[in-house]
Amino acid sequence: MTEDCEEFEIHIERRAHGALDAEQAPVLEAHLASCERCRAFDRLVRQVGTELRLRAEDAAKEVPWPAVEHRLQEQRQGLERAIWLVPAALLATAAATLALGLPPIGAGIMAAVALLTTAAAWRIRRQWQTELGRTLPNREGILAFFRRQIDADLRAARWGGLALACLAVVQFAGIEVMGRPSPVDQLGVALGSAVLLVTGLLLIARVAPRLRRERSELS
Amino acid sequence: MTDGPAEDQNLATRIATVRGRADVVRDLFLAHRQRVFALCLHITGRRAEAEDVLQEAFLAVHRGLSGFRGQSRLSTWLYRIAIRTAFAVRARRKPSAPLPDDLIDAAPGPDRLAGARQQAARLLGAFDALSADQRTILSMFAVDGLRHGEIAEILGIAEGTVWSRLHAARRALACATETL
Repeated sequence: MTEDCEEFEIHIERRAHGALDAEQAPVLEAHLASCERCRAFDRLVRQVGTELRLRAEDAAKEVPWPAVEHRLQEQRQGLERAIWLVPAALLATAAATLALGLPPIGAGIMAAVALLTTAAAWRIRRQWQTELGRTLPNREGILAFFRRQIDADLRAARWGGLALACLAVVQFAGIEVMGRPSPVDQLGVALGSAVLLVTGLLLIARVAPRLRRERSELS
Repeated sequence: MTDGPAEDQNLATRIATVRGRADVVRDLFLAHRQRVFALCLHITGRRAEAEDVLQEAFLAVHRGLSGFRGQSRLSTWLYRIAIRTAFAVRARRKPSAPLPDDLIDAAPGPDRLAGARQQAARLLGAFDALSADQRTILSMFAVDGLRHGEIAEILGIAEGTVWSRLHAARRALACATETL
């Protein structure tokens, strides 16, 4: 091995990817003829390229591309529709409240919530699109954008988890103030509390650490 | 679909409508799915995860497409998002979860000799043990059709740095294969 071997190794990389200058090619060939270490490196470069290509080609053969494309289309359409699902559900509930002859105040609250939710969802979507679009030319911009997304998700997981856990405790404690609820009511409240508690704990103990790991990968 | 900056400028005029955006994403998918999949596969090491990353990356492109102003190639953006998503998928995995060897087992066809197969398995095993950054740069050079200039653009580094990073990754792989 000579001191120039490292430089020749970069020449080998360049040659493998068609980026070696024409005048450097014979110099590299002459060195390869006399240096076993660089010949081994040359073999490794070729072998790695070949094996990675083979692995990707073989795995790609097993991918059901039409199904993947179909799923992608469905998810894409779902994203476009998702914004309207929340207000639609709320408005439907409001309409049902009115239809069942319940006090109109409930329907009014539902309609107001629907309006506010739609506006918030629309604003968040626009913000996402604008911000991601603005980061197009810059890799650091994209990384910063995703870091902000993860930070926001992390905050939501922590506070959401805590809120759900608190809600579960309050709901469970509410059994006591319900007077003498029937066993079915008690069971319903207990199950609801358990679901809230488990969801809250999952957010805190599973989702938040995963997001922290993801965040550290981006740093 | 061709992929020069001029073509992407033409694409920018198509993304003004919902229908146009859907068409652009479909064109991108058909033109780049194999390469993006290969890249994701090498970074994650798992075919199922690579498929998920592929879908997630194209969905992210769809979400942000209306903000596209044609300052860079759509494909460059797509690769950046795919790499980021693949890193995230790796991070989501439990730290103790080992990389599977199903890809190594599935790779060689019946016509490949057992010795070569074993050697390939060792090499891919060493590759899977590299850091995510090293896997990324080696994968990008292994993906057909990605030139070093484009790789530098995707990674946001100078072309000279691309070669030195590639060399560092390859040396790490050489050391790993020697110690196996």
